[in-house]
Amino acid sequence: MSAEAKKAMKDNFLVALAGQQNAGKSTTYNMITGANQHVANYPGVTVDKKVGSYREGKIRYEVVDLPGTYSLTSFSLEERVSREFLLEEKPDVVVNVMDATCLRRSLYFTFQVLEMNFPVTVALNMMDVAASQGLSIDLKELTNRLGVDVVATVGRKGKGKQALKAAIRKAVNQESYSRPVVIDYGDLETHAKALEEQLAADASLGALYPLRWLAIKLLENDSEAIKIVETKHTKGKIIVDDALARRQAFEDETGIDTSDYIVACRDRVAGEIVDACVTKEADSGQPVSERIDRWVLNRALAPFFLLATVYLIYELSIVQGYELTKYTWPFLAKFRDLVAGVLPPAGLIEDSLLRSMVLWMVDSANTLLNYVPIFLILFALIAILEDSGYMARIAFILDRIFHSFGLHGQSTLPFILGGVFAGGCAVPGIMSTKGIPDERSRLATILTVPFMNCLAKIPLYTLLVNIYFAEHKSWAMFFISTITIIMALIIAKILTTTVLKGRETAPFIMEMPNYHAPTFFGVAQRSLERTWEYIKKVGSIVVAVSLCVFSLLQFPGLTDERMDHYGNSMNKAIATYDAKIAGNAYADLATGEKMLPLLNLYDDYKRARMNASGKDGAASVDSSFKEANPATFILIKPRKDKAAKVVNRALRKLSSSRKSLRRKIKEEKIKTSFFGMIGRSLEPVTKYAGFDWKVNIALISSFAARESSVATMGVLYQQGADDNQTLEQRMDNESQSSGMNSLHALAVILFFALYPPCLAATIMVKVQTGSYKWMIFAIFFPTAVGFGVASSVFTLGNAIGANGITMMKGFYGLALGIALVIALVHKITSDKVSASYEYQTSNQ
Amino acid sequence: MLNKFDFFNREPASKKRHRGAGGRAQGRPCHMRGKSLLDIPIGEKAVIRGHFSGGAVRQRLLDLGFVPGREIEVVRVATLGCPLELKVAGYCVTLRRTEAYQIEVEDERRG
Repeated sequence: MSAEAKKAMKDNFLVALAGQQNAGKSTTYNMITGANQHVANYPGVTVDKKVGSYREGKIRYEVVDLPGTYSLTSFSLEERVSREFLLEEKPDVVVNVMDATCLRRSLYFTFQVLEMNFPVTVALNMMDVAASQGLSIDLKELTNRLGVDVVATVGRKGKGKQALKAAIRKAVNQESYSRPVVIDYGDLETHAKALEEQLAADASLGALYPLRWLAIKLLENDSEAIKIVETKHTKGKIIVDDALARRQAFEDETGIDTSDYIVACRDRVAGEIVDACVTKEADSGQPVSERIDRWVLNRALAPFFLLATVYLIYELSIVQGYELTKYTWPFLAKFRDLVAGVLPPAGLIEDSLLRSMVLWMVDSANTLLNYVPIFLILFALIAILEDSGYMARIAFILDRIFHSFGLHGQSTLPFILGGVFAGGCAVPGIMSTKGIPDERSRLATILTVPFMNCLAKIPLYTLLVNIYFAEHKSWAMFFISTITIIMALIIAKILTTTVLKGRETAPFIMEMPNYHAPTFFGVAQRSLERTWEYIKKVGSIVVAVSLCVFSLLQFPGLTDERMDHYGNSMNKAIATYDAKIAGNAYADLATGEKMLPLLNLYDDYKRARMNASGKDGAASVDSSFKEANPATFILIKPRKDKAAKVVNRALRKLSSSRKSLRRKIKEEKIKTSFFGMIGRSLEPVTKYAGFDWKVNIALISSFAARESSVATMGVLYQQGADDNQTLEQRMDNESQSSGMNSLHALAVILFFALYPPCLAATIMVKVQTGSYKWMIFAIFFPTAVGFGVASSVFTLGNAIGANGITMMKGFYGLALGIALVIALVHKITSDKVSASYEYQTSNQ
Repeated sequence: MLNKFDFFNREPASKKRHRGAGGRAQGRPCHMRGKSLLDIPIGEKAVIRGHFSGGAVRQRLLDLGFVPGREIEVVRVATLGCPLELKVAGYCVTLRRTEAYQIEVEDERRG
């Protein structure tokens, strides 16, 4: 097809956005596509393929944001993916985003794209930063030298958007492509030319791939290029052997590694271009980043800055976020009431299945949605850390520690998101492992992030600590929040030295970004994105699973006999009620048919009053109830009406006996439910960890979502008929009779801390590792570890007669000791390696 | 100052030494006679002579501008002494000690 015909029929152009990491590729991508984007996967790999589009009149431009890579070799997955995309899809134009502050290095990439013979438009990004560093770049000269259009942009501020679109339009409509800069490979040129000629012998290859590029790649000994030539060229094998021979000949002749030589050639051309185009103002002192880092990364002060940052995040997101939930909770409560109002009304002692099921689902979702304000703040703060450039510095400070345990400096972000300092969520945590270049560390991070204290684990911890470790509260909380990190590190070490041993690793070669002021839009977008991910989890998986848990708890249900028994008790209560208000002035309104609606109204009113905040809220609840029920409101709130007061008192009595009956039914139901059966059948095993069937049920149900554990416990521990008893008191009462003590609680805490990730997180494990094998491993391995730890602590504690707090201290000491030994061993061995290459001063 | 294209003008004596220790062979023993990057004190500068690493590590280092002949500055080390921060061509790159000792350098004061 001729170029003209192709152009005439085309109204959809493919634009590839390529460039190095930290060049501001994603901001440029956001700038030109706006909100019109979606994320897909490249076939067969877990690399995200971001596709967006924009229109100009009838013409649609589809923009693909390639992964940020320094080069286009075949060493890393991202580079292979980018290269394959360019070669297979053959975009109409490649927009190369360059970082104006390090032009020389960015040019290496540009040269490689140009060598592949693509129409290129350069977006020279971060011009503002370059200007602030005293760099001025001669765009005309750069355009001349490169032979392609260069557009100055500031992606973060949206500058240069129109100019870039115009350049793209020009590039795709170009009739003939002007020949851009060609790298002169000096002594290698003869070899390259000879190889190119050999490759040209097979015409079909020339149509698919740029031959000069292939020739250079062969000389670079690029494995993918060799594969292409071997499979697609009739004399492929001979050419590859020839290329290797030429490579060897060159190295023998000059003593320089061929690949080094090729890079050095590119570097030389890049240097010439930079010298011609960039003028640097007389040194205006040190750059800002350097001045900040002198303090922030100071060897002695760095840990304190890090601790201060972590504390600030904790204070702002978890503490202040909880304050915020006080304002958002009424909305969720209102939503529940709204749903409850639509459903069939509550029965006397048993609700219809529909009502109880829907309310159960709404309750489960509400508990999770309650955390949304916390996550919004937390994710916004983390986005600020990332955008400002401090996150990379945290990785720098902590890499030594993480590396000792087989992890990577960049494991920091997943761990923080997962909840290092009490509060987070494993789902975004596992998602953010994508950035870790080291495959082994990445898998180890994915598998250990769920050990962090996610926000949903906190309620159970608080509950148990308040009951069993009330005197040592702060110590117990400290134990919980740090033991998880220690255990995660130890387990990461175990994993990386056993099952993950054969995985690829990568060094910690990271470019330290300059400090940037984060933009409001960028931070808000990231924060909303991650929170939305969390809400989606609530909306889909958790609600679906809560349904399963509900049915497992609900069925097979009580026998008719037992129901009759409870029915009789209820009837007795009603008879007492009827007797009390017989002859009362309001008797007509409060007995017979009208009794149940009145009772429900009474309960609704009480609940509404509980949720209402402040005097104004209470008053508005009053007025709305009065408006809806003008006749009966007086019975709910009698004020000084004596007859109404009598009815009200009787109502209260009836309501509380109904509640206690309902509770008894519920408990019996759970006991006889499928879940109860499972819980009890597990007792013979779990007794070694001190778990009874109630704890078993709570722990199993928490696999669906951690939050359920406390909710389930709440249902299970409800003997206290007295309404005002909190769950703490009820569990305390119960535990005194059943002999549960702090040792049991410690076992539960330990198991809960090491227990498998919740369902949503395991699905995320599947997404990020791309295999069901790892997902299943992520479920069973932690269960085994958790149960092993819990039962050994419990059994040992029982054997030596120690109480919970002693065992807690002992276990902490042991874990910390193991971790320190691992770190020490790593330090000694790595020092030995580098010491063996110590420079011999005697040579001097 | 050093010529930035020193790579091309190196004396034959130093060439001989690098034979066979080329880029692609990983895990070969490293017979370094000169100084490694680890011998450069913090705040000092040196010139890169060659790499003893291979594969992806070498490629990444070259991509980041660790080209033989370039001047490099050891900016700082992390609190626990492990990753080093190096300044090359105007920007900073972090490296672990295990990678740093595979970079052979010439001390600028002597070179």
